Amino acid sequence: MPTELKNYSMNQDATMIFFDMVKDSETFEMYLSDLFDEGQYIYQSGQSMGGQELFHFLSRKLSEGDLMPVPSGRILCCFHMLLQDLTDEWVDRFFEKAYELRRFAPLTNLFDQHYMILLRNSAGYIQDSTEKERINRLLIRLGTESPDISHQVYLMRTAGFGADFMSQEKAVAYMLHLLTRQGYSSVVPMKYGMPLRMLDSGDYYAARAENCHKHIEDINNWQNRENDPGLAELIDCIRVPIQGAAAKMEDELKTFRRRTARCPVSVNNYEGGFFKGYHRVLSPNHPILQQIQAEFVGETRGRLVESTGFGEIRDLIKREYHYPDLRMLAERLENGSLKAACVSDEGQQRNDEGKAALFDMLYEKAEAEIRKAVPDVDTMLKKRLAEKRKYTRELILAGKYRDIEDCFQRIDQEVEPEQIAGHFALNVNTTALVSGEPASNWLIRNYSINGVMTAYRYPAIRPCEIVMIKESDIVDLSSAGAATELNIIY
Amino acid sequence: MDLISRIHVTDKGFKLMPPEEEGREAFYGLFTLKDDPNVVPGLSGVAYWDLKNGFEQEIRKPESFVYLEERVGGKVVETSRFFYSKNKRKGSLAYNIEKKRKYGPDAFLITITWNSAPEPIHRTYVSLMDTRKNKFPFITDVIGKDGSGEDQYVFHAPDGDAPEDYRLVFSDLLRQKYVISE
Repeated sequence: MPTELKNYSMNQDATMIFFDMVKDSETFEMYLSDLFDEGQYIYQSGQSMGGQELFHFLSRKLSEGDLMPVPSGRILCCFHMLLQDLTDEWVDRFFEKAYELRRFAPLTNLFDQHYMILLRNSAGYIQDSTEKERINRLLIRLGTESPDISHQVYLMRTAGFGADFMSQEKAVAYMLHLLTRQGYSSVVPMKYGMPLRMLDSGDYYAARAENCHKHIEDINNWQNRENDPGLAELIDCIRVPIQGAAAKMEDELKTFRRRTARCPVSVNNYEGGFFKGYHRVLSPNHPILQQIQAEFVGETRGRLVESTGFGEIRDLIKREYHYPDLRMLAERLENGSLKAACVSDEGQQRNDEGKAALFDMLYEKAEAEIRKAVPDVDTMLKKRLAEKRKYTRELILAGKYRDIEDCFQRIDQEVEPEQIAGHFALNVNTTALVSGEPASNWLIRNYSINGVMTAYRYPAIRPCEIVMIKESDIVDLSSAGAATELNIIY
Repeated sequence: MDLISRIHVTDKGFKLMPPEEEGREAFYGLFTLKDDPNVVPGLSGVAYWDLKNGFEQEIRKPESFVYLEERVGGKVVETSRFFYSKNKRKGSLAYNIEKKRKYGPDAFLITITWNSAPEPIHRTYVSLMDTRKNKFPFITDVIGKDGSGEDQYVFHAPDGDAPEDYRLVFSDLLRQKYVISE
């Protein structure tokens, strides 16, 4: 069951310095920067320092404020290096460095010093027996010599835990984060010296999986389900501005007709008598009136076409149009049925040649806008399918568990040391960290993770995340058969 | 040099200076103010003036409007119209705008008078303009059709408009023949 971390606080209680001596290895840097705040740790790549040098380096970092001092005086020093780079000289210098730094402790206020040696096996199975022998000897030296130095040796990226090697690095980063907090020992009992260990982690990040699910669902939806049946909304987007322009045209024509009263007409076109008064007798079909009206209509139409925009079309298509809508749209554009639908109600007005031209010109403008918004439906489909593949891949990683319940049921088996032929991991310690939401689910829905009695509600992990860290001893380096057992492992 | 600048009017007619561009052909035709300016009159070829021949296109009528066009490969590239007159004095034309209730409470009467050389005028050469520079065309084919030297037109203006708010505007071509007085 999840518990709040007793006597534990998220406050940092140890200085952490991480020496990464593996070239082109940025995974640690990524995880550390994700978990630690600035000033809480130092990541130093490609450097190996002597004790005195390390002391000066730490003093400088502390005085320059790159490293925040901690009241506990605890320091956690990590070395990440290749297993093959392990030499007698390095082991000598390591012990020498540890003793030297201890001597300088009063000057740095770092009294409580711990070391983690993370040995990365990049070669896979080591064939050469002399080389194996050399490494075995050095590992046994590291584990057994100088028991007064508090240090742990981990073997990384080698057989033992699941195939996802990154999960080992992630586990280290979480472990380091845990170990640098106040009251860490209530969560992780530290054992130093003797055993060679391995770490692994499994996680479930529900939000990310949900996000992938949602994207995939959206794309499926886009691909398979029409959203604007009959393209009703699009037709409105075309018709409304066209009708607006037609209404404006009507208004302008009314004004124009009123204005024609100011067109001078010969006195001969006036009928009446002196007493009755005279009135204009002029057929509205007078050819000159028709001509000037046609000119006026032409000018006004040009102006209206210019000023009528169909900007909404682009937004609508981008926002609302699914693949079947786009296909239907392409088809209706080609066979002219979209135009028919857009101007169907305007039959009466289309009898007027001037207005019919206005409708046609505006429709053409709208159609050009549509064609701009839908450059190529097939390319769009390809793009969306590529996106879908990307999210599907991500989902396999992020959401290897269907949901939180599934995760609770399976995470323990998933984060399990692999059985190496003839060798079994010893003393597997499990630490489960859960964020608020899975913790509540755990309580309310009675989920259980096999073998995990207590998980810790851990604020540093992302919402919905569950991280399981397993630490196992693989070989007791002080035992008589250590070398034989080591031979089996790499 | 453009076409209009290459026309030299003489006592007999006009001389047309050759263009810089080779391959141009020139044509001319006569028209009157009552003709629709959108209709090209019947044309005949006109030779360019040169030093050797000194060609001059004769115009027999004492007064006439001349239309000229130049073509390259049959395609019209430049046109020009001008008024040719052997007389030294221009004709004169006057108009007056007044309120005339006889034709309605909002009616204004325009009277156009030719003081000399009365000639019917196609409607496109004249229009009514208000103070906001809106132009109102005449609803007639030709003004002064009967050649009597006077013609009258009526228009209806919105309330509050005065005769001073309106004037007639005449085309440049017409002004080449007439001096206008209001």
